[in-house]
Amino acid sequence: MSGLLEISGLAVAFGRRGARPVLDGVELSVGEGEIVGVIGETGSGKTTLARTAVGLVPARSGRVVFDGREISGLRGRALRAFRRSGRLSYAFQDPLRALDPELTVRRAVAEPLAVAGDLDGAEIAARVDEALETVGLDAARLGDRLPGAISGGQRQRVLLARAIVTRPRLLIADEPVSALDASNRNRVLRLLDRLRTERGMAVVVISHDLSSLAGIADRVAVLYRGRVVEQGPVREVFGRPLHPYTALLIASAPSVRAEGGPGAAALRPSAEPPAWTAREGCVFAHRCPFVIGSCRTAPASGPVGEGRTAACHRVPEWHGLVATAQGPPELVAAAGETHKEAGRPPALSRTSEKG
Amino acid sequence: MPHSPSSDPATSATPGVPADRPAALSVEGLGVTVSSGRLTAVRDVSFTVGRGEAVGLVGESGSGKTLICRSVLGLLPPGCAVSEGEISLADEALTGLSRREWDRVRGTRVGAVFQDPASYLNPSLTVGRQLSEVLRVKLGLDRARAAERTVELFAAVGLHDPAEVARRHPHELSGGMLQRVLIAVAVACAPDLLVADEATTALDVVVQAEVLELLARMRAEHDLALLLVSHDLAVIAEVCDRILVAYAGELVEDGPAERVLNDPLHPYTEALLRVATVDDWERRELEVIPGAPPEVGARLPGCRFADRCAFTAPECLDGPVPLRETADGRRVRCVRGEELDLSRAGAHGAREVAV
Amino acid sequence: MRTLRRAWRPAYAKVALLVLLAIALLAVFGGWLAPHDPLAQNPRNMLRGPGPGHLLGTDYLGRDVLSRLLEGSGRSVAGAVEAVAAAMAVGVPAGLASLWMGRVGEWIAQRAVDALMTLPFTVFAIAVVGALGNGMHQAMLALGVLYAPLFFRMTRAAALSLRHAPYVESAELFGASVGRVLRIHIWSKVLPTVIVTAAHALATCLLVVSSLTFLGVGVQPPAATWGGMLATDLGFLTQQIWAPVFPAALIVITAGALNVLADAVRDAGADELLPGGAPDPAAGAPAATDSPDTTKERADAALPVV
Repeated sequence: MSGLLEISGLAVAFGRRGARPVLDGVELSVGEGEIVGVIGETGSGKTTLARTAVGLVPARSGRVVFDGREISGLRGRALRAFRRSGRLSYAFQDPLRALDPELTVRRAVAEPLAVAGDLDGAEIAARVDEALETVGLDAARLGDRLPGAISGGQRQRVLLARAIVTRPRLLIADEPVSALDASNRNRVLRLLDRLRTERGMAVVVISHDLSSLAGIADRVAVLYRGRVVEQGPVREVFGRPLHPYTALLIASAPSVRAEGGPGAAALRPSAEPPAWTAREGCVFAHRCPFVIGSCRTAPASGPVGEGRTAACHRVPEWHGLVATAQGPPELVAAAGETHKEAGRPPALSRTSEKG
Repeated sequence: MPHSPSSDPATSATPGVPADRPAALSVEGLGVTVSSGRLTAVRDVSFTVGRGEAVGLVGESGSGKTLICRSVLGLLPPGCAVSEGEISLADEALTGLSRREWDRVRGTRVGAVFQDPASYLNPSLTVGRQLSEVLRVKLGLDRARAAERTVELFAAVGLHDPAEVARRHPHELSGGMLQRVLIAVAVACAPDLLVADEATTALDVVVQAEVLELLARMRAEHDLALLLVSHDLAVIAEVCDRILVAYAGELVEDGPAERVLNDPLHPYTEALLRVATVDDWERRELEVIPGAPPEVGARLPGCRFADRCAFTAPECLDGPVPLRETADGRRVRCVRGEELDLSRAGAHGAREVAV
Repeated sequence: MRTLRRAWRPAYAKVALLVLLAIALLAVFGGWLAPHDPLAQNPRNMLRGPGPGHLLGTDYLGRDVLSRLLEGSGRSVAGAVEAVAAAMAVGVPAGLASLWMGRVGEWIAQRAVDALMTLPFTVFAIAVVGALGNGMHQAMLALGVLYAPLFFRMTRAAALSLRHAPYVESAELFGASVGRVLRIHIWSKVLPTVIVTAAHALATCLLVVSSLTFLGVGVQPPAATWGGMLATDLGFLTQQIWAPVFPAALIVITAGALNVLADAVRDAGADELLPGGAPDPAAGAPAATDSPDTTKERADAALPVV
């Protein structure tokens, strides 16, 4: 299968040699007009993955191929020409800091076209108005405001307008909704969905909110400490997670459904993990309740079923272990949980991202 | 999520407050002005938090929820002031306290946890030292006893290896661990009330679930009243017995969590529920609340939600809508309240079946 | 740019600007306004206080102080401006370039600046004058080179935080050239810093001219400069207490006005950094009073946690 964006064997490390890589062996493929979600906690390497894909961070090894052309090796003039084509764009994480405080909305959105330099002023103005309209902003009312004078939700949409004004074929959006409240979050995600259906634009969206992501995404990749631990169609991954970390994420997501309950406690280790887990083996071993001796070697990301991969030695037998502890095998959804169970101090504290 | 049976509205005498619980906090007719008194951002806010009760205050950006919570803590930002109303803790009136009296109240009678724990800790002192200072100053413990108690408290908030954590500086701890440290500080002097203002917003999903469990456990173990402020209804639904919904500086609904979540009386609550996270992994059109909340201090005739509401009738614009009590002891600020069927079984039955 | 526009608002900035305007006029037309020949000596009329005939009195050679001040103002101001312009021409581009030159270039620029900063001032000035010949322009050039590191450092520091600002990275991702990034995103934010630095440097240069004259470097007697007059007149303080007052007053007023202006620019810049974006009514109260990311509001830092 050859997609629009193919990332293979990507590794990134900062600082000294021998430091734990920020990304390691990451494989990700995005097809034409596909929405792929990327989830993971702080420090999992989500943002680094996005920044490496667009060339802001140099990769130590691995390839990034966009539309049949390797872009990770582009330098100098070729790189600039590719960037000016505007076919791959990146929407930064923090809309307040990603917009120049002294450029008006209109000028900020026009900048990518002005840089490319193949359109004249009138054409640029028309494209800017079109982009602002697409993201649902009133160009006449907001066009001449500065970023400081509009609301957070509006800023986020200005950032998206800036990213889509070049009519990219792929948009990588880094946490476009994490600073927004629920209604604005849905508004932005809906916009991404619409861009996909109307323009055939592919989207990689990094997000925390699993349920709203599931509403628009086709596939999802779960990152943990620099590795893709699970990848597959979003409904299958969320409905029946193959990796214990994915299961923990899903079980931990808050919900307005009082009857469900988190059930996350069943997926946290109840005993002290083996001492080796902090340094070697599977990246998730130190927080995994199902850790065994063979987890000392890092599991390869292997295909499990149609279009799914998971990096876990204990797929699928750990499902059974949750079942024996908690009841029916549908694990998370059924793993009822009370506050008394949650109160296990030692287990709760294994949350340091420092490794 | 189990909701305490004692919060059953049928047995309550006063609105929202079960008869068997004396009030830990009561707010009566609170008004808050911003911009040095020029604009009224919060008006006519009255509620009580019973002893040992967990109350959630939810609202979008600009709803005034943060100002309400800061008023309770006496920590309003410069330019903001309580313009009317009474705030009292059990027996002690808090309105008009001097700075010194506030310092005594906070910490001993009210504990607080915020979104950004790192900025509330001194980066150059160990976290253990900071907590023992509090114990020595507020409770008059001697050095050895304070150090001992610090380790106990750290263990109680689920910090792994508490003695070791006590020797760390804030930058050596992850966000989740810092939030636990702040919770330990907040409960150190056995306050009656714990105020958590967006305390889990900046945390990863997994850590957020753990901190929410911790808050719920703290409340159960110490018979602590909890006021949880969040823009995320799902977070509040996980922990609270009772939900207050704020919109544009007013309370629009108040009732037992289970009832509010399943059978909202106010159209805004119903809209929040529609956009909130649900355990739904299906591809779907994400819901949004149309329009934007009114500007802070805007003067509007009648209901402040009218222009975004799907059920607006002419009588909604006649004049300010009072917060009125329903037959079963809930409160709602809507002239049409009970005539609308906003329950999940009614308006959104289809979605319920789909899950 | 907004910073500069806002800087003109306070009344004190306007007063300072008027004062500087007057001094600029003096610098240009001062020579024509002189009532006497600034070089005409009069041994019978030395070290007089202010009085009729000589409004500001006479100096130790009986020359008219008012005329000398007026005639010398062009030379003094031009000298200081020349030195600061030279310093900016070297320091500002180098400061910006150091951030876009790659690691090696950056290292070389930094070490070059360190080396310049260790040079003893007088020795360097004498060396330059020795090499290029004694004269006002040579001395000012030497001064300019010595002030260049200040501009380098200030510019670099101001631009450093912007180098990796997301909007700069974003512009680079769209293929923007370095020139474009500097012009659109960096320059307007660095400019206030450069102006503040220039104002302070101008004020010091006015005074430094006098110490150079004292060493016989730069302006040669009998040509008048404010600094030079101040230096010589100080020697006659015991005979005529009035002597140093007038040149000193001019220097103090000019330097003071420059400093006031620099402060106005700096304050306008600081306002912009306030949470909530200064008294900008368009910023909208909702964002400032209540948002999920209350991280930005540190107004509550008084919490009794520690």
